[in-house]
Amino acid sequence: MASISRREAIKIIGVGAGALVAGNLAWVVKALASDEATIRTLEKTVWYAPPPSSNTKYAMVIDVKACIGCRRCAYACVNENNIDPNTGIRYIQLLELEKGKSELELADPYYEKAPKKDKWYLPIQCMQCENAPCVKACPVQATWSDPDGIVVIDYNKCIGCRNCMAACPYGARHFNWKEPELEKQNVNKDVPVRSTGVVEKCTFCIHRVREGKTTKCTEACPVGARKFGNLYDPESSVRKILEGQHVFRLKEEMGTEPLIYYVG
Amino acid sequence: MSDDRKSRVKRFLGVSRVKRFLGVDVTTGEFLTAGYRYWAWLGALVLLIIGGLVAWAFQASYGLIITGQRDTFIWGLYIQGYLYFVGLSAGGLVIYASVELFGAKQFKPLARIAVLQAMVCCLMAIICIVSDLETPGRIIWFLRTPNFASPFIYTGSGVTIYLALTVIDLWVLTKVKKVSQNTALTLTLIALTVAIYLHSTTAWVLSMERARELWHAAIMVPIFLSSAMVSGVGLLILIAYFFQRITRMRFPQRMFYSMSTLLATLIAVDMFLLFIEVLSVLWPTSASPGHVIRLMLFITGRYAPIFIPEVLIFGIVPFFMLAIRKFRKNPVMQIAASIMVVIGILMKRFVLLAMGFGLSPIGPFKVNYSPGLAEIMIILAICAVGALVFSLALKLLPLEELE
Repeated sequence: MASISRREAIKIIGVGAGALVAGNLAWVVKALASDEATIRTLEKTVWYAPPPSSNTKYAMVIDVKACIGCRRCAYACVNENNIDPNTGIRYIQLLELEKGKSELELADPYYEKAPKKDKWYLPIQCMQCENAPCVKACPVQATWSDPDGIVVIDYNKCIGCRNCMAACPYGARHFNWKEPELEKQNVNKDVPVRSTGVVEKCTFCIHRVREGKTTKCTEACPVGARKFGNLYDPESSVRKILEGQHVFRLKEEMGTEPLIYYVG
Repeated sequence: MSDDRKSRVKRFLGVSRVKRFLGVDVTTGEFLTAGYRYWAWLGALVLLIIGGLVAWAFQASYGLIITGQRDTFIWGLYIQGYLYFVGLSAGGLVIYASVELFGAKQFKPLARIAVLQAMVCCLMAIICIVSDLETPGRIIWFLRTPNFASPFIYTGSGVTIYLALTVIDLWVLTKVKKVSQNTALTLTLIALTVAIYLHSTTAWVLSMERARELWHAAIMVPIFLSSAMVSGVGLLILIAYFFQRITRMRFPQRMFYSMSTLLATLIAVDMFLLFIEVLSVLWPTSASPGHVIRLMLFITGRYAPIFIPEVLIFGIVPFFMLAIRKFRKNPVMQIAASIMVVIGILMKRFVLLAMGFGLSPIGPFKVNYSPGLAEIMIILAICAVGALVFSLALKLLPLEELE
């Protein structure tokens, strides 16, 4: 049995400690360099999603001709994103409109039976605007647009002034008027539970899409009306639709540059 | 303190317990002569404040769910209060500024009370906005990572600077050693500039939101200023009459007449701007469906029972009460008109919020806002804080001009 001299022992410990320190330093540097993907608090840094990649721009295309207004996307979203169903928060709103009409003011958001023959359905959620009014409205920079297009909120920084909600033309942002009550077994561990007093909204399922999966609403749609993918990838379904079909975006005249497109 | 002044104070107040603090004669003795009604009043105010603190504790533990605010109507009584109190403080400052700036000597007896009103209302506005936040501690981020694209930065800084400035102005005005004419003029100019900054930037919070069609209009800024001055001057008239009744202060009738003339003029300006606002939404070549459908909520729809009386109460009726010279001289008319504008502009502030939230940008979601009990208790407590500061200042500070 080979014995280790004291000198060697010190060397091994030294190297080990050095590696630990270097590793930690690298982590700290990484955390500092890409702080967009973190929740910053005054005391600590908490990761809540993998960092964004720069060669990605997520986008969604919704086929309103295919949409049957079943609201399965909205319900799946509630379960996925740790939303307390009793708070009434829905990241996805569905509007029922008369055929041939598109004024949102005349829509019915409370329809019960769907689909109806003479109606069409318009799902609305956070458009992940590239020129987002909410980001500009936030007085404390608690929300911003990540390089991959997702508009994120730092829940530990949001002061709850709700100016972003007033600024959003899509009614996409929601306030936690009370502490959400979730049953322990239903909590999705990949998604942080928001506390009372902060604003939240659709994140394009940031915890899923940054790991290569698709969003929950896309997965839940029974008619495949939603397509999700990377705009920079020439092979992605969204890119192909944008190249081959006529698309429109909601409230284009606002200049918000949404990343959700509609076809139909 | 000169014997002469001491005797004057004694003659005026009936007591001579006066301490010099930061160059201001603070009359501590006034409390000794205060009657039971004064103490009962203070007690009532303290009770209201305690009630507000209890409500605030409930709000802090249960969340803003106990207010009437919801995702469809995101700003309620607190923000309404903020807009209203910021406005009320304007009137005080206008009167104070016009003494030096336009040589309106007839307002001089009111200068100190006017600045006190500006200060107290500004303080109340700040408490309103803090009550609206569930995590007031996070306000620190305003300083650490401000976003200069957000109007909140400007109105927030404005209200803070304005409060500091009114404190300084009040100190300068109540100091025994008077400042020179030039310094007074400079102070007035600074105060007026900051006041315009505060009121414009407060209007920006609404007017810079392109998502809310009825707010998104340049006219929001002047109309906010004019409504602010209407309510502020109205309140000042009421305070002056009230002080004349409960203290030894006396103001010349000429002063009230001048203020009423000013008030009538301001009402006319405010109504004109409102008329232009409504006209440019409804005019055939200007009308867009989104605008019209929202404005019609106020003319024939759900908010008509508030909007139509509001126009009468803040505008048409008090204008005619004060525009006719014979009426304008009558103190009863002056007081009645002032009460009407103070209430009318409060309604106008609610209408202003409802203009943004009455119909969601993405469709007819159910909107029914009525303030919750906690909200009302907190707002009452905030009013009580204002009244308390006023009541203490009335006893402690030399608010009246000793001619």
